[in-house]
Amino acid sequence: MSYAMIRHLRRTAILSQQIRVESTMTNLTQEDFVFRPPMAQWSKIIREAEKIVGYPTSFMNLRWLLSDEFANLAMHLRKIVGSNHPIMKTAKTVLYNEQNNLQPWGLIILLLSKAISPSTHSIQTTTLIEHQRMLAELTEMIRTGHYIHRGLLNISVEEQDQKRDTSMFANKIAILIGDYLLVTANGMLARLRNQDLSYLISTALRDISEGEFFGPRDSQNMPLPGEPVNKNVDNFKINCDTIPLSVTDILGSPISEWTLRNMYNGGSLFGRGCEGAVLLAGKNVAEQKKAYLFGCHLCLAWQAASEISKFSTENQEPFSLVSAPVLFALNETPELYENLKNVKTVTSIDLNDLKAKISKTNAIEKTKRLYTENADKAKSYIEMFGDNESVNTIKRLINTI
Amino acid sequence: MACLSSSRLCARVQDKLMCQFGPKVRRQTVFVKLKPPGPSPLRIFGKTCQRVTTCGPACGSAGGGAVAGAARRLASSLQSTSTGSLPDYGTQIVDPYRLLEDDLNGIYEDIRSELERNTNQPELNTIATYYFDGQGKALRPMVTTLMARAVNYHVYGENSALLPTQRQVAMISEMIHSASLIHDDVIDQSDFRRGKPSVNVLWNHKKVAMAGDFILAVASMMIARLRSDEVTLVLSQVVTDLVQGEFMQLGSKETENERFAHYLTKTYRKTASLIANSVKAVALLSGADENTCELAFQYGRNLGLSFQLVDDLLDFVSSAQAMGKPTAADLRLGLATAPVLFACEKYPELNPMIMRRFQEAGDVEKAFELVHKSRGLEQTRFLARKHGVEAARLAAELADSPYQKGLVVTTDLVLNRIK
Repeated sequence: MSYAMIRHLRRTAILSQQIRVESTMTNLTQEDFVFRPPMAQWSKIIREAEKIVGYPTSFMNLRWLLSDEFANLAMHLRKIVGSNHPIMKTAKTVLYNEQNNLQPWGLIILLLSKAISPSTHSIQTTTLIEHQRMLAELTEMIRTGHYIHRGLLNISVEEQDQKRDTSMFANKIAILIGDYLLVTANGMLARLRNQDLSYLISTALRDISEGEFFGPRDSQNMPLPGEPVNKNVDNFKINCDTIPLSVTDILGSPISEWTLRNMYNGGSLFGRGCEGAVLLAGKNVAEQKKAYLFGCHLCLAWQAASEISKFSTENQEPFSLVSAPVLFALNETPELYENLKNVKTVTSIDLNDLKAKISKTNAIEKTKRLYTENADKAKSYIEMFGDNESVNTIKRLINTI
Repeated sequence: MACLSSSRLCARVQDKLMCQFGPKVRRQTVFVKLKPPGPSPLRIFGKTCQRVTTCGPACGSAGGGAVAGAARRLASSLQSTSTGSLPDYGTQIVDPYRLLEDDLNGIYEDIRSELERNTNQPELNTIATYYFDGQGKALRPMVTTLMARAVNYHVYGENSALLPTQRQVAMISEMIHSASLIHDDVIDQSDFRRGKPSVNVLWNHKKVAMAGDFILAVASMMIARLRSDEVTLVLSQVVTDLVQGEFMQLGSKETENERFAHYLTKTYRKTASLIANSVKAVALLSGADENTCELAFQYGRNLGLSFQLVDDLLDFVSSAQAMGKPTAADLRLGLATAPVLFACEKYPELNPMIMRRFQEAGDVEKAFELVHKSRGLEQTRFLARKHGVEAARLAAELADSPYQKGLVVTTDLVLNRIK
């Protein structure tokens, strides 16, 4: 696999010349995908971790760029470059992973695999490692493919023709690329010849697509918070079943709503990825469940950390209306909800104003607590897998704040 | 053989009904007027009643209503007068839809309940189940089930039943088909399919795309539950082919020869692959040997190609009302299908139109006209028939059974449909 070629692609990609305009529209879908841990040491830890697993996972996301299908598309992409379609921003995010702006899922799955692998080297271990790498890669692929599908644009009939055509075309490309990634991941999964694993990952696929329908939405299907309610007990217990996630009594309670949304948005997928690695290694069901819970809580912790960083004073980036600080603030000050209910588009909200109001509440504190709880749970689960270099590296990656 | 209750027999039949009662029946002759499975009539052999040679022990229950179990559908022996090659099977007909009525009954309901079971979001449920209202042709589940039974009969003889796993594959094939239609509709921005407003007119693009993903996810769960590595591999090939077919549709080829090969590959991937791999999957589940599985695959492949060629043909001949979707649709989408590619030989002025995907004003109308003036339609029909004959030839290699006959009849159904 030519990493040199990928570096070359990055440098010469037409996208690099063209993307300058950052409209609010293209920022929309960036929310839960980009992850910028403020730790200075982050890149260093990632590189050390990659040495441990012997695999440059930063490139995991990009192999599909080398495919024939994508080459076919490249011609057509020229037509949409310069438009404000969300897919342009998605492409840039995925391509330019230099600052490790994506949660390093593949890396964690490989570290976990390393942590549980026997020290003896045999044919079985080599095959196992190969399979776990495929699993890590296909998990990333599903994440990217789904993310690209979320980058579709809802086009209203009132839009003028020329713009409409470009948007329609870009939608078409987004569906195709997303589909390509999803079916390629599916093919890799089939080749692993493990139906239990296939079933688990399929349930994650179901969860991730179900998530787009939960809760109120604006006209671009961007999530809106539920009406705040007062519940005595507000928590969300993650269980390991493969049945659809329960939605009763969730909307309006900050911790429950936030946890469920993020379980849909990645927790379930990442959790099943981790569970899968342990399953492939032949461990028993109890171990698998621990891996699943580890993955879910880690994903939640990272998500909380990412949301906290958006509320730091220097940060000017837009934040999601269903991020934890917003939900906590709404619960504390229900009057804030008046502006947010039934909005037509999230871009119509004055985020700076909202940010200022949120800073006056205890929302950030509560979010920090949310991070700590999830991070601690993730740590406690991963510690059950032994005390070795891989586990320790994972723990360092958990501490992003 | 399927037992026909009296309601399905036309008046002429009841006069001439010679039904022998008892377990050791060898031959009966029943005149049957075939009832169409769905809103439009099946023109199989014209309007008159046809002579059918059937036999079966339970014909005595013809008055008593439908036969209960699947097992009783199997004939103790079937005197076949057909040589198995088209078009000479005028002495016997099997209506595959009627033959499989019990099996196919409730397939859409089961799909809907599987989808419903897998989500707690009512809106997702509505969108996802929208395409499974039973209004479609159900060709894929029918062919899959038919092949399953035919192969079961081939391998195990007359006391074979339809395996639950095989029925799941029939459901899965329909789900994959619908999911791909949903994504196609967003891509093609089509407003009509199957006679009702297409999904994305009612809901927005994002939700629709996600619903498609959801259906595929549930189908994947069902595939995994079959617990067969081979079947999972075979069915995963289907979705890969579907996507690759879509990609092929985006690109275009320069020379005429390349174009036709490109068109055939694309047609295989987009249509035939699903049918071919689904029937192969049920053959695998049956425990059939490699040759039989390959035979099933080739049958499906030829049937699928024939089906799509007829589809492309119908786009040029039928009216909008009969089809449920507007015609010349392919041209308007910029697609050059078989009739156009054939017509190029006589009218090379079609070549630049193809290259620019009929985008210029008047292109669609001109191309439409030229295709009708040329022999393109005839040549397409010929090619479709060729594949149909090949499929029928392959089907004839399976052990004689009503289902095997059904496979042969299906090739003709595909060729003669008007919708």
